[in-house]
Amino acid sequence: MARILGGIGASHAPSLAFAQDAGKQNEPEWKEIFDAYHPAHAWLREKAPDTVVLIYNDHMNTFCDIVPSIAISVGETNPVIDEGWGKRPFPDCPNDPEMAWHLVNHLVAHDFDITTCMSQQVDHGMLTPITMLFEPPWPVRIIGVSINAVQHPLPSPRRCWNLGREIRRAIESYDNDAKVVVLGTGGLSHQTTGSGFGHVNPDWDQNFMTLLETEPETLADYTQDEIMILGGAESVEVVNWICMRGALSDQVRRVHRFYAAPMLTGYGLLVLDEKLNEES
Amino acid sequence: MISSKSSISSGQTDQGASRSLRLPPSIIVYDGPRALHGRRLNRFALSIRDAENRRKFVADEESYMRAQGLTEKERAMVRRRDWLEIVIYGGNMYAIIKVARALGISQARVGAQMRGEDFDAFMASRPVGPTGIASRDDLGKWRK
Repeated sequence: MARILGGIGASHAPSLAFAQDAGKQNEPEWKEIFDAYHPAHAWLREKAPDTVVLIYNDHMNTFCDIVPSIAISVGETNPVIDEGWGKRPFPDCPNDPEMAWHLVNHLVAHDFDITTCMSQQVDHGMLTPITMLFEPPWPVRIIGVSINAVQHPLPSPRRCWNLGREIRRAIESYDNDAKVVVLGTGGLSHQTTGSGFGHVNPDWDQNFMTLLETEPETLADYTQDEIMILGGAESVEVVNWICMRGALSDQVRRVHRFYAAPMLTGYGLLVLDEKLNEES
Repeated sequence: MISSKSSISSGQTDQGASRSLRLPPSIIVYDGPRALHGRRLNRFALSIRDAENRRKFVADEESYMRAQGLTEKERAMVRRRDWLEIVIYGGNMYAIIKVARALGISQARVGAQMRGEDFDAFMASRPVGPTGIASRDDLGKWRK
């Protein structure tokens, strides 16, 4: 059976991609942030996952006229696109269609109405964390699970937590020895619209990361409105982290935690290892 | 129920039962009424993901916006670079930021303008310090 090695929560802010593409990793304002990914790289090298289930939100690049609450990429590849400021020089991301369809079959059988997507465009919601965590040629296959975090009404945190629980059961019932890491992207606090532009709340972000690690189900009781006031209107995408955590057990060990909020966004990074895998 | 244009222009389109808190006007929720109202602007903004369309827009904004079917009111908001009015009207910032960037205007500059602040004053507000608001237990003043 397939098994989950652990989970990662990571920012998908375009600013990280801009800094990376401009080669600013060692400049004073960026060095601490890029260096903070090194322990995640080491953990991924050690664990050597085959497939990443990447829980993210699209930003109107795949879904605009049609907006599914939950969509899963099921085609051969996830194509990298030009979001409007030039296509980043990275190869398309290989999908794992066999496992993706297993997820879809399992989730629909357990009352999650999934939209299947043959060509889920890779915008910064997927590509920023992929390029921060891996180098091409991509060493993993990537199944994109998109949760609507853009056009209200949005799936509740409880719904996203439950989706994560069911994704775990789906992976554990997959008749294949694949090693899987679950990656939740986005956040943490930020607001890109209105007179509240630039809202950043380090106190909430730090508490969020603590709760996610130690008492994750308490976050399922939050409402999207509460998350918007705590973390800003666009921080609702932290449900991707909640979903990721739902896919892990209560036996996780924290490998790494980092947080910085120098400008417009709380950059969070959290690596959780499934303790039970240690002896295997 | 789709809100009238006047309620869109004056802040939250929905303070009804589906909202768990009283949201402040500083939060602009991109919901059904806004998505419907802003659909031409958002489609226009998404169209310039294509590099050739981007070039055409920057070379002749007015002609490109007309060809995209924007109304005079919508074109005027873009002409004035009135980002706050655009998002209140129904533009989604994830789409509209493509327009700003094509025009060489950074997200921080768009944001400072939406806040009604001088750019340097906004930048001086970074990084943000402690807020003392760390969980849902600290949200009393927004409860209904």
